[in-house]
Amino acid sequence: MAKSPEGAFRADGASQHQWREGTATGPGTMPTTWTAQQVLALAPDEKSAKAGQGLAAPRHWVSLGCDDAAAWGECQGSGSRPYQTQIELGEPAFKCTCPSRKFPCKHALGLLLLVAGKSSAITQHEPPEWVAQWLSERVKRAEKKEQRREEQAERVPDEAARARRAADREAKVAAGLAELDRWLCDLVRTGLGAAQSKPYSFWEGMAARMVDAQAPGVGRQIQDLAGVVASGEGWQERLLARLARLYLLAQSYERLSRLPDEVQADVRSLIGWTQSQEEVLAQAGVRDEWVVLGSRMEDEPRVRVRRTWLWGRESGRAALLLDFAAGGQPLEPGPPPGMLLEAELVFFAGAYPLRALIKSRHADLRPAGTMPGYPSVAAALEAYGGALARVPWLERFPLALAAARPMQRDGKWFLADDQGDALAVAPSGADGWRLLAVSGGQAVAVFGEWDGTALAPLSVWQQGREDNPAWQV
Amino acid sequence: MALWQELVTTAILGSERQAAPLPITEGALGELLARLDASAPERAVLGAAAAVALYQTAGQRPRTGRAPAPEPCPLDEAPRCSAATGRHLGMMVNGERRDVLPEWLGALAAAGMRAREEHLPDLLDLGRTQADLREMILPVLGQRGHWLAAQNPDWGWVGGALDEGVWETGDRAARRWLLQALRRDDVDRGRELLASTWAEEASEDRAPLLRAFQSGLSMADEEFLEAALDDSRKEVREVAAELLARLPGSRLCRRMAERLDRLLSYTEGARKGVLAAALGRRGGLEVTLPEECDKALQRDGITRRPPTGWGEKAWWLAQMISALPPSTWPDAWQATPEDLIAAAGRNEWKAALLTGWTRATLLHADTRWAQALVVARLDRTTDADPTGLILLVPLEQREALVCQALENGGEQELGLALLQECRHPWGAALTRAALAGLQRHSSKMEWAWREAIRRLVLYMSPALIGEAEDVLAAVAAKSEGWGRATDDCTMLLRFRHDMLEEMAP
Repeated sequence: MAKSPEGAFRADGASQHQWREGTATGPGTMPTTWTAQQVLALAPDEKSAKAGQGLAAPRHWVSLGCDDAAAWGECQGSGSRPYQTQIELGEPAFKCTCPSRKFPCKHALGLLLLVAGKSSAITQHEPPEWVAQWLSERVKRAEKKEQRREEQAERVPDEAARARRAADREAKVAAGLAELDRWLCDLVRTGLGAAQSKPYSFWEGMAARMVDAQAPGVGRQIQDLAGVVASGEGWQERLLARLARLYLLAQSYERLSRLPDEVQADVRSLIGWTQSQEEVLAQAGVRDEWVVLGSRMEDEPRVRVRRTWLWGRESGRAALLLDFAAGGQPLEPGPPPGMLLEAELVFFAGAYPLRALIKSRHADLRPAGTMPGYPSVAAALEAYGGALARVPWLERFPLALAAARPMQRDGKWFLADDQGDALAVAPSGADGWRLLAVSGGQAVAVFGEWDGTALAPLSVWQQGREDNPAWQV
Repeated sequence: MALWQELVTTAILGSERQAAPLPITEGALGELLARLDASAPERAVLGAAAAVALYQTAGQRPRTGRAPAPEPCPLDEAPRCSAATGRHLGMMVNGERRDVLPEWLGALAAAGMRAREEHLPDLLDLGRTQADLREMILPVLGQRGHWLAAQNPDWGWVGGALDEGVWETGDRAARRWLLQALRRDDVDRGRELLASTWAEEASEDRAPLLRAFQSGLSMADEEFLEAALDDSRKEVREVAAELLARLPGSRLCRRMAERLDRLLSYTEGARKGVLAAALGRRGGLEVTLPEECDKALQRDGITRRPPTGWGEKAWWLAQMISALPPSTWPDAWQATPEDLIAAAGRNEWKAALLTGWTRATLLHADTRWAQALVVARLDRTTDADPTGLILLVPLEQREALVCQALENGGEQELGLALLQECRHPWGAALTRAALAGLQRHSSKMEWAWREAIRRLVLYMSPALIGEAEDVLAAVAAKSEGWGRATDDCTMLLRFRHDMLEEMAP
């Protein structure tokens, strides 16, 4: 039988901060009083949320209990024995004996909803044996983990083994990229016209080989190519541009030692090396008031990613926070767009550093009020050109326009500045009308991700509104 | 850019088939391209493509040209609703709990607020496809909504100005919409417009268009409608007859009144009430059945063929009675509707009389008669079906009557049927009566209640949510099959409660 899932809200060591307005830093300080909305935000998907709501009725539960630290209950499912569900409220951490792989499962959601609603059916206040045992086990495990971490920090690293592993990987990657190089040349030699009829396995197979060669970043890019081929008119141009960029990457790796350090860092991270978060956090950071411009969540096959974009008021530079959640786990809450984050950020190495980690926070979140941005489209594009010159593979550029008007031309939407220059808005249906509705024909501040051709808006800010951003995706 | 195009072409065909273009160009780009690895044609293409693609992207110029920007929208006076209320709307627009949307729209309008700007496109799209929601959406659009709608032809349904050009060029639905709008705002123009093209209208269009005359109906339409009684298409004749029946001064009504005058009479009882009952001198109706259904009668909308279970002549009588406003009879005979209904109940032709009067009540929307007929049914004086009539009874009395029906244990089916007609927010008394009815329902009525409860929950008073949840829980505990239904109902009720509470000042 599958092991019952259990987990806690600790994605990585750095993100122990809480993003409630007005609460300061501190590990594990989740809200002491829950609202239904907060509970539902934990659900891994819509279906679970609904199922959880369905179970939030006392008639499903054989027993219910709650004290300061934990909540527990026995839910009558379709089986003969009721499922035992328990929640440690502080983290929160969930455990349930049901076979579901979802996390938190619908029983946990239902139980927490009942707690949130202060249901009168919660009669027990002393944790029974099976709850007390789990809680004490957790405490023991946390202590052990802390102990192991300390030990590991003290342990002298086995340099020889590490060097061997690193050399192995370099060799594998080199071989993989050499194969990529041949594959790219083959494609161009025989012609892209044939690419449209290639089966999905053609791309998927090559992607898998890259993953095997320990170059997962390259694998992901090749996976995307299948989508480009099917993207409609102009796919050949787009495919060629992407293939050429991959070629550039492969060539760069060949000449890696001859490249400047920052570019080496970019090449490595694109291929799939990860920089150690401990090392990044050890650096000196940039302390500033960071405006949270916007964020976007995306669901990839096995992982959920959230990109949160920041802009430093003093430093005038952008930063990107990445949060991941694997396998149906919920994402930790992040700083909401519209807020001002006073913090010290440390940046990952690169020629145009964007990705950052929060090293320390210095104040509670407070509303930012206004959004900083480029004064004109021309200025924005110039900045983009500069970024591209440093990182040719840049996929998403944070583009903030301080004053733009949404408008339509030939059925396509644009954002125009007062000089008359315009940027295309990524065609995603209603977005254009929504932008127009929010702007009311006035100039508004717009932030989005620019991919070189179109802008995908993530937030719109309006002068004088207290609840900025006026709209976010 | 020419070089890029050449590279693309070469790449599509394949460098083994098409010679790679010599990347000769001026300036820094040219120098860079010259230094690229050209050891193999495919490398030359890939390398050049990488450089040129970057060159184009990094150096792109923005689109320029001043397109006419829309005039900025004037500021709204009404406040926008809260973010939480907006989230409720977001859920409903996405399809969840769509049934509650009319209530949300109504409550927002009543609170004097408008929808958030980011939801306007969704509301406008909704109004385009669902005409029945339009009236409710309009009040919450605010200035911004009207301004926005003016810029998208898809949202023309909002517009104040009516484009008569649509009459010439538009499709069936658009023309009907235009006519309906005209009948609201400029009745005469509407009639003129239809009259102008009446002769040329396609036969299947005439009846739906004529039906638009329902709104703004007045004697000024009488002549047109009288002429339509001779239309070649049966449907048109039926609509015309129905509409003329609603105009008490019309020639059709006069003709009908004349005929009925000869067929019906009423003698008042000497005494009323208990005394009369005891002494046996209550009012009585004298009924003569019509002899024949001649051409004139058929022209006035009477069908010859009776439905099953009806005799021919009784059927003709019923139809004739339904053409006249029911208020005709109390006026003519100096009696109350209650007396007449009671008299009809004692007459051998009560089916014809009561059916006729019921239809007449519905057709002419006579609230007095509606109430009288419903009360008579509940008192078992008659057995006419009151479900259509209950909607004509004013709200207060309606709720009281339905409560009465529900409390009557012997009439559970009727009680539930009437309850289902009450599609408005219920008061406390009716909510309690409904809950009591639910709790007490017999096993025979179980299926009916279970089907109905999901809709009924949309109207229950959210203030009584505690009581409702208790009753639902009790019912669920009684039998297995209820579980799912009551869960959904409880959630829906809670949603309505939260939604309305959020909007409260």
